[in-house]
Amino acid sequence: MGATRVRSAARPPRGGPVKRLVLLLAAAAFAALLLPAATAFAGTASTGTLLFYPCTQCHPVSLDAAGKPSHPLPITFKGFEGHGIKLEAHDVLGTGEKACLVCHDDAEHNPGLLHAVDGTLIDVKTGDIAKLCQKCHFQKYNEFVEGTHGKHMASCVAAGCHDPHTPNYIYISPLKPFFGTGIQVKAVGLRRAPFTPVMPIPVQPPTTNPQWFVIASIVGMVVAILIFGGLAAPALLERLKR
Amino acid sequence: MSEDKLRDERPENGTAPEGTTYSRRSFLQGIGVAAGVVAAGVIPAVLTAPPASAEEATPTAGAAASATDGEEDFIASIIADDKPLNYPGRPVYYAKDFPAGKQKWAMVIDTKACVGCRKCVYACVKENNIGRNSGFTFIQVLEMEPGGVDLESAVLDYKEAGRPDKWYMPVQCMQCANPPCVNGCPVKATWKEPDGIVVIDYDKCIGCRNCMITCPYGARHFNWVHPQVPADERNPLVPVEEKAWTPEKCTFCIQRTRNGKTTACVEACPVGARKFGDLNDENSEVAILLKTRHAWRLKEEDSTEPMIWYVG
Amino acid sequence: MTDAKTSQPGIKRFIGIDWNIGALKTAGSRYWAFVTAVSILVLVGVLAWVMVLTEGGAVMAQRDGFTWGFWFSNYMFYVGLAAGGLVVYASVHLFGAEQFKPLSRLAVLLAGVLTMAALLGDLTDLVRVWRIYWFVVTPNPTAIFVYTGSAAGIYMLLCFVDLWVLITGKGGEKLAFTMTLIALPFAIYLHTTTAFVLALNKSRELWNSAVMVPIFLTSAVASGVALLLIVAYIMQRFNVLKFKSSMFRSLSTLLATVMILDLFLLIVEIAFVYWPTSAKAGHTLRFTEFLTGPYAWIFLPVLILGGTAFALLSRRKTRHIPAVQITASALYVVAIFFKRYTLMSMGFAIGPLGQTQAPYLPSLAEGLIALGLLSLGVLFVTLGAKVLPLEVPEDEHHAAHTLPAGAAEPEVAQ
Repeated sequence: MGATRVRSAARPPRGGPVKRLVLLLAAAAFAALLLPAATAFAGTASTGTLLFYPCTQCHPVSLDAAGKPSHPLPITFKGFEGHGIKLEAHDVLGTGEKACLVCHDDAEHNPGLLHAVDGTLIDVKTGDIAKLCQKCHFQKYNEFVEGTHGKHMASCVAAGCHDPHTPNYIYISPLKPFFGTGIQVKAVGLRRAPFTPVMPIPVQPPTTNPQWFVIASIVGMVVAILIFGGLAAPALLERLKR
Repeated sequence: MSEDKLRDERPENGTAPEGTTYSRRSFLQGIGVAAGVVAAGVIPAVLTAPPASAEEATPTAGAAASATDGEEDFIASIIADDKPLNYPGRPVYYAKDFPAGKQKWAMVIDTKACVGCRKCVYACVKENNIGRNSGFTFIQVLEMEPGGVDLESAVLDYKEAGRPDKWYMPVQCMQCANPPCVNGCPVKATWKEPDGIVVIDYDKCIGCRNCMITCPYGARHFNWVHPQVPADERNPLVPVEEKAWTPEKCTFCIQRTRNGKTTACVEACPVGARKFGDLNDENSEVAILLKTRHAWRLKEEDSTEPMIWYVG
Repeated sequence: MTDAKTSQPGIKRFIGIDWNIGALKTAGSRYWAFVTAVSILVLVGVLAWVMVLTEGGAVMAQRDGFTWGFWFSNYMFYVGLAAGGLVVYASVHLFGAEQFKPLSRLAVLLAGVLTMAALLGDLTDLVRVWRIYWFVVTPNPTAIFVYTGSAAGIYMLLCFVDLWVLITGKGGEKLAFTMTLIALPFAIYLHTTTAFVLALNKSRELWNSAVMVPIFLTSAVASGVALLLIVAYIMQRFNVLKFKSSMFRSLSTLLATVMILDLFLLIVEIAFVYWPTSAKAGHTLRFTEFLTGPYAWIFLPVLILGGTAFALLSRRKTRHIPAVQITASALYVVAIFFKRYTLMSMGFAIGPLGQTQAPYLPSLAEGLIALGLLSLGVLFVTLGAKVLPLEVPEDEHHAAHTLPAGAAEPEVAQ
């Protein structure tokens, strides 16, 4: 949290009570702006699990009987965008708040709910998020259900497959490497940033030559060469004499 | 001969020339007989010819059947081709506790999903007691240039995976339906089991390495050194010691797949690029993929009929 | 043989042959020194083989990408050499080339010994040699190894039996002729199956060619005849045998003819690989390793030495000079030795998945085993030169077909 320089309310302002309230609200809004974006994330972790935005940190939400917030969520002038979630690939859904509202129920209702294909609302934490992805990616969804796309996971966003905001990213959780070269793997995106694979290519075992054998064969070869030399020498000497 | 002579020898109209026994009448009679013989031959031919609309004549199970007939036929023909070869009548010794069932195993690899992380390679090494000093792995992941399947420019020892300008193709024993290795083993120490898995009998193998020469995929690897596996990493279902001086290769994790599990590489793949299953089951992932996608095989022109397809 | 002969000291009759053991006793110290030196090399080879059996395959330089090694290159080489002699010998009976008759026993002995060395080389590669009984129990009719292995074994036996028939004269001319009728086609069958071991592999692009078979046959005959010529000269130098110079001239003409055929087929193969309408990356990439790549140092000598050898023999005016003949033959034997190594490497230089393998050079153990086998062959021939009656008697030169079958053995010329 950055240092806020709010004028202490020790000295009462010159104006009347209305002016006081306005200033208080402005101060509160200013403070809200300075909430660091670091707390606004949506699962860019490399552990493979989707982390959820801690909504209740800012929105003290209580739901009434109909499942709607009992009072409307405070809307900052940035709205959904105030969460600082950067969309990738899903930015084709639109700019600004429009993109968010394609999936999320609006702030008037409960953004913690998502629109499914048939209009029902899915809870973002406990519901079957895959039904939301099915809205557009129906072919991939069918393949996912029959098992030919990806792995048999609970949903598209479960355990390290697709992050809903940056869905082209696939998480690969690191494994202990085979030859002890350290953990490398993080995230691989559509742009496929290269990474080091888990296992290098194995090396062919070297040719071994036991020491006793080397010595014995050198001795044998030397003896044989000496004998051959002994045979050849007289013939050579004869030729030289001639 | 001059024309005059010809004219002189021409017989009068209606008669045969001198010395011939051939008159116009007999010629016409001959024509008639020939026509009769031809007609007699045509009639049975016409009768035995299949009707033009024979297929429509026999009732089929609904209009939808004709659309899927081709697909069913091609998988059925793949299954029919995948027969046991040189099978000695009993499963290989390390699978004697789990003989072959009715399945016909196949694998489909999605090359769009594969990122070359080599986790399958690693899992296979652990599962199959591959010697840590042996210098080979059953699975070799090749980094391929896009735009073709050019093995001559493939890179095996890539240090960086997931490159966007390359695609990745894992290669391992294809458990071919027409395996050159089984045909080339002089002592029948390697054979094709009834469920399609090509196995090696390490006790019988003489180590001549002819099978390695004939394999077009380089899928068989020889244990030049005694395989060394740490004791706490040994898989008790897979041999270790007797593999010295014999070749070994991927067996579709025979110790797992015949016990209801899937192969280690399929389980290890983090992106689900590998699918393994039984072609006889029409709802298995491999059957669905073969029917709905463009699936191709490596070195199809060698007509080894491999049982690993690639999609994507 | 007459009784007079057997009563000579040192002649022992055994299986119908008069073994001249006495010649060994009268042999000089140089002879025994040579035999000792060669025996030491054989022992070193045996020691190397024992080491392979105990230490396992790690002592060999063959690895996953280069599955066969020096033993296979030598196998092809020796089997090839064995053919030449037999072709020469067969031409005596089948084509009436009488001038080669004095060579016949030596040729058959060489063929048998070389095939034995080849087979032993094959066995030294198998660490568990005792398992080869499976060849008999469950042979695979689609595996070419079954045919090659059995062919080599039967061929070796055929050669030794043939030698026995030639020396004892049993069955006379008729049996010798029949043996030739069996032996020559069998030699061609043996080389065809050896070529098939390479050619019938769709996985190895450069090997998978039908032209392998004629290349094998011509290389075999050329190198075999060349070796036979050299050995004949050596035998003559050490007064074991005596030949006419016209025989050597005739042999050189035959050699030159087969040499040019062999070189021609090699050029044909190169043309196939590089011609634009038939060139495939699979072939050109692999062959380029041999013309300009790491194997060039051993492939280019094949062409250079082979061409030189042919050039030496091509001139009729100088073909009769022994120095020319011996040099050309030696060059060609070396060229074919290199050729066998490159032939083997062509299957492995770039693997079936397009991966380049490091070039193979034999390890110490493999080199010594090969040397031991070569020495074993030399030892057999050296001992045989003293002990066996390799000289073909004069009477046989003019043995007419009027000799009744199973007639009395011809008189020894000595």
